[in-house]
Amino acid sequence: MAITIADRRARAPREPRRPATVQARREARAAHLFMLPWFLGVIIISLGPIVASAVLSFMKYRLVGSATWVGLDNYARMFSDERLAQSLKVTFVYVLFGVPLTLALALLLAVVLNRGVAGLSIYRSVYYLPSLFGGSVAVGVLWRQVFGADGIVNTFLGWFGIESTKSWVGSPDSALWTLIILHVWTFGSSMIIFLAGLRQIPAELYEAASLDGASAWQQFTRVTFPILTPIVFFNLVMGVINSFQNFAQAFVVSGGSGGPTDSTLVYALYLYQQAFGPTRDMGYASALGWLLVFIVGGLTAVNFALSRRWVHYDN
Amino acid sequence: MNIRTTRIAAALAAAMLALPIAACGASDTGAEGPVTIRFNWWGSDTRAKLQQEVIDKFEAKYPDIKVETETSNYDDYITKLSTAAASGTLPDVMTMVDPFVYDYMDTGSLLDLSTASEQLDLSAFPEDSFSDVLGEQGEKYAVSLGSAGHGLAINPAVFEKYGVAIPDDETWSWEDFEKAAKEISEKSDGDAVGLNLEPTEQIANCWVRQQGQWFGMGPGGEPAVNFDAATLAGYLQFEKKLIDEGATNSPDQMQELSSAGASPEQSLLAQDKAGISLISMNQLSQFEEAAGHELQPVLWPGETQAPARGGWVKQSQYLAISANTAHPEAAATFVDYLVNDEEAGTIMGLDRGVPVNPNVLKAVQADTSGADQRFAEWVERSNAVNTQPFYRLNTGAAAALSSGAYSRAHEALIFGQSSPEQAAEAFKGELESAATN
Amino acid sequence: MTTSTNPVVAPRPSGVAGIRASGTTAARSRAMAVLKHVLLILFGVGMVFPLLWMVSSSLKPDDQIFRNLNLIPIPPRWQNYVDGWTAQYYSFGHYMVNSLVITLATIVGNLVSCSMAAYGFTRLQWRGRQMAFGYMLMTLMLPIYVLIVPQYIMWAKLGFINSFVPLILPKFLATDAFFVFLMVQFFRGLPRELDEAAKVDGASYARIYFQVLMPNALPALATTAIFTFIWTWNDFFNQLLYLTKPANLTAAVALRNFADATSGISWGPLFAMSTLSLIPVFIVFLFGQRYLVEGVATTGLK
Repeated sequence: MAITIADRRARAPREPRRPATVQARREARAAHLFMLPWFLGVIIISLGPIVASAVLSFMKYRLVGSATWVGLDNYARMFSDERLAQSLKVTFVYVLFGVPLTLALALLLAVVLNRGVAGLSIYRSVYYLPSLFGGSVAVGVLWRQVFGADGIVNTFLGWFGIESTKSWVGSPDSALWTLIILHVWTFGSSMIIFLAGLRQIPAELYEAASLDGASAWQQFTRVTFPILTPIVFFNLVMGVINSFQNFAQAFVVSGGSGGPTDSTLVYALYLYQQAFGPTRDMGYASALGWLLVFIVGGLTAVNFALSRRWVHYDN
Repeated sequence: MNIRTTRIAAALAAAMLALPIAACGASDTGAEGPVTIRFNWWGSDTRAKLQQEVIDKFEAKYPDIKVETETSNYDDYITKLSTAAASGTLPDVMTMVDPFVYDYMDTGSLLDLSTASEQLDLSAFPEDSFSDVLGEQGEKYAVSLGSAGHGLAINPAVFEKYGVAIPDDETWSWEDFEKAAKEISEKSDGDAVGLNLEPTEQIANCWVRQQGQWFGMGPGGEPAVNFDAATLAGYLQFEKKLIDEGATNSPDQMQELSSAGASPEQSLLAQDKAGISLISMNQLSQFEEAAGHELQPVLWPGETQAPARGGWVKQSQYLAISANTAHPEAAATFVDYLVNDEEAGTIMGLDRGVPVNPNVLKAVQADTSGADQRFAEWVERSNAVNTQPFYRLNTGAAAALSSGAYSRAHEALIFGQSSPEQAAEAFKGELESAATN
Repeated sequence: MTTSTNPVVAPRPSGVAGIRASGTTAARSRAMAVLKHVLLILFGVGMVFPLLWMVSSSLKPDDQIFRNLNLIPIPPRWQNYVDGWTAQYYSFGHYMVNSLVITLATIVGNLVSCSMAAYGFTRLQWRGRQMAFGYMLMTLMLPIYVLIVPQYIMWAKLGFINSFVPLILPKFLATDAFFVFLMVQFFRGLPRELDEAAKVDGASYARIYFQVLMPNALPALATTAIFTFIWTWNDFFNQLLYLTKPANLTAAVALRNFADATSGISWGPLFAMSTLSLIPVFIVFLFGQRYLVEGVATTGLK
């Protein structure tokens, strides 16, 4: 894990001034104090419900009425649940295309804007605007105005002589792509994070590199990207996690159904339907939640493991 | 550093101590003095104003009872209600509708209203207005706030514009229906369609009922699902034919509209782009407002040709009292006011449907005009020919239906992924397996 | 404070941050700049167009919103704003104030508690740190819909339903793992030499936190503040569940009450109030951007 690398590097230049035990005690005390809010948060806020949801995953609970123990039934049910399989498929496509596209766009624009452009703050604000919408009702409406049968995209195609009355949000073969585009449209938050990271790179390094005759691309690959890797890593991990949990956009665009024909049924939406939809089974939803933890946890662990190869900490 | 930690801890402690004082939730239990009851309902901001007026009048009439309201939109309401149920904090009075009312009935969360007969007089309500909310021993768990239903509406302007005769809705057959729809699509050259393709199961429901079958439970609860897949396949076949003939809008357009929430302003009917459409009849006035002209509610096609009559009217929503309420008398008094008081009825008008209490209905009808009147007339006509009762669905099946069982099967059909028989089988199968769980 | 002793590059006189002169002719670089601007603007229009549609819809009567795609409504229907403002039990401004209170408190909570936890995770050694970090990451992955019912029941039993407590208190306890993780990554990017140097000067761990890490983490703090604001402002689900009385509702929840599928949607007022609701968020972002930019001096480190 990444912590270990940093640990090893940190342990090296330890000053010999104070005796090790006093130092260690002071450090432990500081750790207790600084971690106190977090530990309180775990004990008071998060641990109880997490355990409860784990227990619930072995029960059948419809919120109205009491919970009954069903053992492993919920988990067994997952294997024959066709809609679950469909949602996993949809989500993987969504993540596979959505996350890299978003990150690439965010990084590209962050670098371009960071270079210094007239009207920088305006561009930055404008590109961030879509992220402000969240999962509001307005987003769904807007997206249909763009990708609907009478929408802007079809009008646009008409200018080029392509007659189209197809509803892009309403067709099984294109609905998911409108969702992916919606995800990429909100690249602004990743871009902001990249911008913040870029600001931490000392200008001297660029000066030195350009004086050494490095081109823009070389500067990017030799200076910018390496130093930025912790941030890239963060955005990648969070991008994957958030896409798996992203449900609001799919909800408003599909009207909550995940349609047409479950083509936009992302995992989080399916889980929400199980938890709060009419068939409401909080037990099964909890089991689905834990399955998601395993899946995303697995992917994150892979991310962390691979990160040793390309993420640089401590300059 | 110690100072900072102490400060944080102090701030936290203060927050944790101070805020509970400001928090309030459960209704107070003062033995003397005013009693406070909580009333939750769903609706829009327009309904909110009307409802508040009614509540103000109630509080003026009964100064000992205070009513606290909580409102949300329909989807959020269900979420909030179920989380409240999970934590044992259901409100005293709440609006209800199928399918989720069945859950609350099954688990004993609702009060049997006949036990509150001192304050709540249900004698004016016809027995079959309770058919959806009857318990196994005949307990009445909720009272109707108004009847409505889904039905077909015709856009006369569209028919006129393309020179298509409006069929007589008391005798027309499904063939006449098909012919009219086709004609509109052809004569308008694609500007309009005959039938607005319907994503929900309502039209299919009518077709199946005309064959003497229905989606709900059989008499006495058996079988759980009371129709043959072949019967439903007949309807799906018919619909597919309409789509292929171009008498309807395309499947992807239908999908787009349904994901938009089927609001009147966005509908093809109100935009004069469809000749016939299914609507929730209590929204007739909104559709007419969006269209800018009158629309015509009609009875179902094929009624006189089929073995049985398929049309139906059902209650659009109910009012129920929590079984664990601390103030059953106050709650019952309030419910009685809402459903029996003529002034309250006139204020709400037909917003939640046509009042079922005949006295309230008379008072309201004196005041109605235009779309509301047409809506009420349609309910009356439908009731007059409504010979088959509406059988409620099995709880599990109702939940499955509500969560999209029909839509998914239907979408598979219209997007070419399954045949009518397969779609019908899939739908029936999903209802049956949900019924046994 | 000592400057960076980065062994990779020898110290050179610092110049203007960011811009470097291309080695090509002035005309060509001007054309490139123009092209860049054109592309950026086109792209920006693509970002903004749906938003413009919403604003323009907020000024149209309901039946016109879906009928014509004109961007400029003539005449503009300001009445939508009035209607939207007064449509519900309280003025929309009342709801926005509630949102503001919750959001500001949440920002403070996150800034303080998440940075403290990040410091503990990155710069301090303690037993079980790795496990705790894993636990924290796991909390990021568990969907809130699964936790929400047990959490709701817990708060209900404590009697805090319909108060701001369930929304604010957790934020003072570093429960927003996203920001803990964000700050962890930022802190990791700050060289340990700074810590070491401070320790040599005799600074306590707290001093290091306040005087070394926090000032250099300004971009991360600004990011946290901005994102917390926006996400809390838009977080309708938690607010929907925990705030029940009309007086306590927030803007995000009030917006949803404009759209009830069973009885009708007031489109004009909905879009009007949605637009209005965006304004504070946008202002915060505009204002906070400066701190993202100015976080670090041109030499990169303080």
